[in-house]
Amino acid sequence: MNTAVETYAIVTILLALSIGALLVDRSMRAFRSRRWHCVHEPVALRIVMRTLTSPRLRNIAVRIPRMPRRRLCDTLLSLSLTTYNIDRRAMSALTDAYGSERIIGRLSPFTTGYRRAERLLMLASMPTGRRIPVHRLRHWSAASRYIHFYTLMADMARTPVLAEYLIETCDIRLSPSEISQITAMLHRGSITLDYRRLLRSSDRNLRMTGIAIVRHFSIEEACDMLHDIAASDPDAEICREALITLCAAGCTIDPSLMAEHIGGMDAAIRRSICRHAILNGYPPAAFAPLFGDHGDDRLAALAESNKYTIA
Amino acid sequence: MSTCNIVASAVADLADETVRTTSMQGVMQHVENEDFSLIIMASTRSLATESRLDRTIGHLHRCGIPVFLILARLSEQRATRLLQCGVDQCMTFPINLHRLRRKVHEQITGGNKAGRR
Amino acid sequence: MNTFQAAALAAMTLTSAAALRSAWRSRRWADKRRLIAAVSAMRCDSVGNIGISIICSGVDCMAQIENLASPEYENFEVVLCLDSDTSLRRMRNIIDRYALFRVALPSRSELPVVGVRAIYRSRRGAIRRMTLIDKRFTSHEDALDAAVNVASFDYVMAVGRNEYLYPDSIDMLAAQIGEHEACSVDMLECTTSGGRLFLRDAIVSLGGYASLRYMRPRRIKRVINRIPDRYRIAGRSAAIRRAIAAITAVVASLVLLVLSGFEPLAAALTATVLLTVVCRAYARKCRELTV
Repeated sequence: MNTAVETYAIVTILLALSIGALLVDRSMRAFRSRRWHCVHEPVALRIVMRTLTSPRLRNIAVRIPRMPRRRLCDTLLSLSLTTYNIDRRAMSALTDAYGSERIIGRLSPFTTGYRRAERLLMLASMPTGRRIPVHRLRHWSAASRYIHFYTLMADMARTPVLAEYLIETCDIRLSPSEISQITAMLHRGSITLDYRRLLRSSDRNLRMTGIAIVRHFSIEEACDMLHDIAASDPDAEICREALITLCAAGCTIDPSLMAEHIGGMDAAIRRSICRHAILNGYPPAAFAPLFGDHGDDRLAALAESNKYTIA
Repeated sequence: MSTCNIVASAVADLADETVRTTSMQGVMQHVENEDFSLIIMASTRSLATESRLDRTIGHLHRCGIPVFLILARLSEQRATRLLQCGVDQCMTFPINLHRLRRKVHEQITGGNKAGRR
Repeated sequence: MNTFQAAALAAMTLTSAAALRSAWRSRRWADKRRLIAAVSAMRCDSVGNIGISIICSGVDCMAQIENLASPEYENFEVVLCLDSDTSLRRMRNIIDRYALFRVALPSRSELPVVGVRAIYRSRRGAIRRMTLIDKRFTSHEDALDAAVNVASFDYVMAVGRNEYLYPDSIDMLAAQIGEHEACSVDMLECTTSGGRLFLRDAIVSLGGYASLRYMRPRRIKRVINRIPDRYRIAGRSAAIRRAIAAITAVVASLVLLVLSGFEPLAAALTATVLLTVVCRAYARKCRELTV
């Protein structure tokens, strides 16, 4: 019995010491982060910017002074995420020189959870000339959705021509957040997608992506296609997204074309559509034929409370 | 912080004097004490409550200081409102570094010729 | 084996396991929060038109209102409900600060409420995210129902006094809601902070917050979220009290260890106390805002 108790005590003390070390490390992180942002990062960025903006320096191997590699990698990631149309070859060289070893080192089969997802996000966002193996997941966990999605993003970044195919064959039902990240990737020029093909596709993920692209880039030419989708698509969620996008774009909507189709949808979805329409300035009366007695009185209250009062 | 450093480093070589990054609260204090050719406000996170942002931009506009605004998301209405308040350029992330540099260069050289205040 | 020793060892093992689990979970939440922050920075659009209304009753602290209004999320608003009889000056401050204008009182409402005197909204061009209701105070639930009546978006979440949102809470909630079909989730409940994000139609069909006071929502589709979406600002005294309690516990266990002549069980107890204190401190550190 004493042996068991002593073993327990030793193991517990060792655990307490290791967690204590993690605690100290985390406490110092704020200080190190401030020091990085105020002292090192401006220097690193100046060197990087000179490389990216000066044609003469692009073929010269850039040397950044000795700096925390992890922080430098995070800064390169921020640069990739917040800019577009940068010289991918120069950026690749920088990533390979200063960033990818961290990603490679952390993408082993033993890296799990949200940290793995974060590394995959880095791989998807930073151009690199090296071939970095991405080990496929074997077990489903709480972070698995994120890992699946960022594996998809990393695959799309590596082979942009297959982006449409990869989205179509994706295992997960893409959420609006994930679709907006794909749109951001498109905006940065990492992949190319034709919204017309996406809107005509029968796959749910592709259609939702197409609608998101139309909304993000305010493509007015697509209004007719969205109108057709809203009037005929069997998926209520896609209809809702198409209608809301039309409302956000201020397009003319012909309710009579959609009355029968939307009238059969869930009441909550119909009210949601009407709410978005009112917030975008459409009068509730215009949608009255669509909603019958389901909430148009109550939604009219929303419209009234957005009007000025003469007091 | 990274975002501000990225924007500052992108335009650092265009300015004769020091390019500085500061917080939203620090802007007004610096403006009272020093002369600025251009102020660029950049954020991928919450910059300020919007009414305070409008007032700050209005004040800078009255001082004759050009203001560029770079935000994560910008609706058409908000962009119109900000331009009415006195913002000279509204941009959203992701930004094109070459375009940003060109606009800053045009503003600085055009502003120097026209004279300020 | 002594039964008492076995029971004590089992209890200490369970305590240690619980402490380690809490620390591990907090670290996972911090990782998830960091990932979402990185994603929010790169995303240029709101999440699939998912709109969230934050509703508050009796919240008049300007720092808290600033915090609630600060998320950079497109389809988002804050609805405050105050009583001008008791908070007239603060209401005027809020109206001036956010340039609110008075709007018409709706003639119909989904939830029955009494005592609404006026409604103020922020200007459409500048900020479409602040609404103030002047209502005679009867109960907090009643005030929340009045806020639900004028909320513009599909989801509503009540926030109480001295509750502040983490910077990416709204993005995180929207992302989680978006993983399910549109308008299919009635409630997203945060088990750690107690926050509940309701589908607006669900709370209306349940009869409003006034009805929820007496019953627990059962027949609704519920999704659990374990990552805290809000925090309370504890005063310095709370931090000092925590530190004193931790030091007292460690010192007491060390004294017990010495007095018992370094018995193995006392040593195990000291180790357990030490591990628990360190794990709680680590979990708290992980929940802090700065990375």
